Amino acid sequence: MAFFRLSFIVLLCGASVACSKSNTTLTAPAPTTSNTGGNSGGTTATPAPTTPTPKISLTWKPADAGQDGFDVEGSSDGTTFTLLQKVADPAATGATIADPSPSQKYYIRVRAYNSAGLSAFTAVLQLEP
Amino acid sequence: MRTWGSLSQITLLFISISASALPAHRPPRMAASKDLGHVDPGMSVHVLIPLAVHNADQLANLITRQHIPGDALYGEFLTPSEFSATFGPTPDDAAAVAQYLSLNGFTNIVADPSNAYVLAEAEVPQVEHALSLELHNYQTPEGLMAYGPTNEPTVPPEIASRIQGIYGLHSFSQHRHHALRANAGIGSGPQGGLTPADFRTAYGLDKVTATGKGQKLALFELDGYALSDITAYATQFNLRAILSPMNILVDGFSGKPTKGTASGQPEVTLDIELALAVAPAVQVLVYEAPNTEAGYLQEWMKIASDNLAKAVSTSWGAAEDLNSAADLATENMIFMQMAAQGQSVFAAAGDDGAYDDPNMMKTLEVDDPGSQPYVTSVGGTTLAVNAGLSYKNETVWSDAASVSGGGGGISSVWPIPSWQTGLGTALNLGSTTQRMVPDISLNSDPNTGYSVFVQGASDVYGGTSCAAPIWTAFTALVNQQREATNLPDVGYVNPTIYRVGQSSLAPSVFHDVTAGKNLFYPAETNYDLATGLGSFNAMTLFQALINAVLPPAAPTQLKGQRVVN
Repeated sequence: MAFFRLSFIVLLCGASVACSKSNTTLTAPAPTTSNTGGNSGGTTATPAPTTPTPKISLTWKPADAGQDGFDVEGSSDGTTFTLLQKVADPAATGATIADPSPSQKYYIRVRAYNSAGLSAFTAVLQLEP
Repeated sequence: MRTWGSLSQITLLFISISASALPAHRPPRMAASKDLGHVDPGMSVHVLIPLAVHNADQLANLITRQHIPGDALYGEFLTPSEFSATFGPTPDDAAAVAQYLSLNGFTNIVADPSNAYVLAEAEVPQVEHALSLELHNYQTPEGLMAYGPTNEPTVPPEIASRIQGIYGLHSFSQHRHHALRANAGIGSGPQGGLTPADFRTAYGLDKVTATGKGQKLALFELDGYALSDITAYATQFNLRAILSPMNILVDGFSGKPTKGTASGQPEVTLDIELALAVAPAVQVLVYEAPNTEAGYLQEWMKIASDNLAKAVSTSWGAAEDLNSAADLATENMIFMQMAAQGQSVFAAAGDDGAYDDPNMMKTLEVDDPGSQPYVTSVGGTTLAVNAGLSYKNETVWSDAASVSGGGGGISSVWPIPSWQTGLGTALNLGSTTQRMVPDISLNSDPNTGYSVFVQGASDVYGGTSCAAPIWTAFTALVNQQREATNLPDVGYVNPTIYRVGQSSLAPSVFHDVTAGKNLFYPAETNYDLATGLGSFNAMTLFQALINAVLPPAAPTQLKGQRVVN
């Protein structure tokens, strides 16, 4: 299995995706095989090319330890925001979320929550396409 | 008090030939004033020398942690003796300063028991020799007469390192009260004043069952009052079984009200009455000192060193520019001590709108001590009520004709505290670098004023002087309930009210005032420099503040990038 994983990484680095250290954290997709006849022989399948997933990597500084978690909200127009993700970790200092519209400007804001209520939002972060 | 008398008691010799100038003892207003020459050499000068607090950086950090919910030091307030042991001046500091003064001909030298300050007096030649300056009379362009030093005082380095400054070297900052008499109102009291029942209904205080029982509330005053007025007010408005106010006289003040149109007696009286209207079972402590530089500072030090009251109100102040930077820094250290001890201090924001210096009505100014970062500044609104006196709405209190209105603006001295970060905007004309006031507000318009009983008669008064004691008494109610559930007192309230005031609770606990200007700064949605966070919806704010869990504070420094993987 270790051999297979290494092969996958080499293939990915050879594709159009920039090769970086973070690739080592990827998990391999399930091997595809053309064998449908129950042959359990040891042929190694070549994985199909995968579509890179656009994401947004965020960091923030918690004000103190008074929250139960954080709400991450996003907007494509900077005005109307929707909840993208709840981060139920009072000590979280960031999150990685799916990028809803990679080809457009996008806006992010974060606030803390606990049983008493919600904090104000951070200043809005603007991401360029 | 320890006293120092004859030279024979002196054991410490000052042999330094170098000297250290003490900066910032000349109020900014002196720069434009005309020098009228030397003061009368026979004039007696009373000085109060606050001694330097040690470990000031650690003190600021401690106060921050004491007010962060969940921190190990949250609510762990100090006693005065604990404060003295960690941060206070030492007996050696007091002895060294006292002996220097004695060597230079000062008399009646007295050191505070906690070594917070040294008091002394001398005639002008001795003061001038000891501090290497001259005292002259000055006249401001607007005609204000005052005396002050020709240059910064100078003392030996071993004295300079032990003191924060020297109080009593100028007379520019005589403190004014912020009470205004009115002729009519919107309430059910005599002349239309708002009775206790009226404004308790309007602000939802009638739904708060706490009475202040077991709590002490301190009023900072620079004049006296008549107990008969308080008794008459309580009888008139059916405030049953109130405790008689306890007077604590400071710096030789007699307790007798001064006479004349400038008397502060109405101020003292309405402060007591309005506090009792909100918290009828509270024990009011009336601290009273003469309206002098030394009296003013000594009284604040007394309230801090006594630490009897956890809720403190002042309706006396002076424009920042009438104080020297040394004056303001000294006050700041006292308010830091009070914050570390869990004492909440509320101050009227002033009644001159954005122009607090009555002699300079075209210059934006804010009022000290409201602009101090460890004090909560209370601004003014105009209240509108429905039939039955339920709350209708509020606007900024201002009256261009009389150049009056709720105080507010930007401090020229204090940097922006962390709890105001991001609140100064282009819309509210606020600052991104300086402290902004007020923090909160309440009805203060004399035309929607409060019923009081002053100098033997019913009357109606407004001014932010009315708003400050009401907020203070409300805090006593909060403390009563928090103590009942083994929670610490709310303490220095600014971090807490800004936390709540920017949370999702804000619309239900504050009346956000969005209409009007305080002669310059506009009211806007959320925080503004005319009314701060707004006035309170008493019941909902009370519930928020007695909750063991406060809303969280906003995270900061949001950063991010798009990645593909």
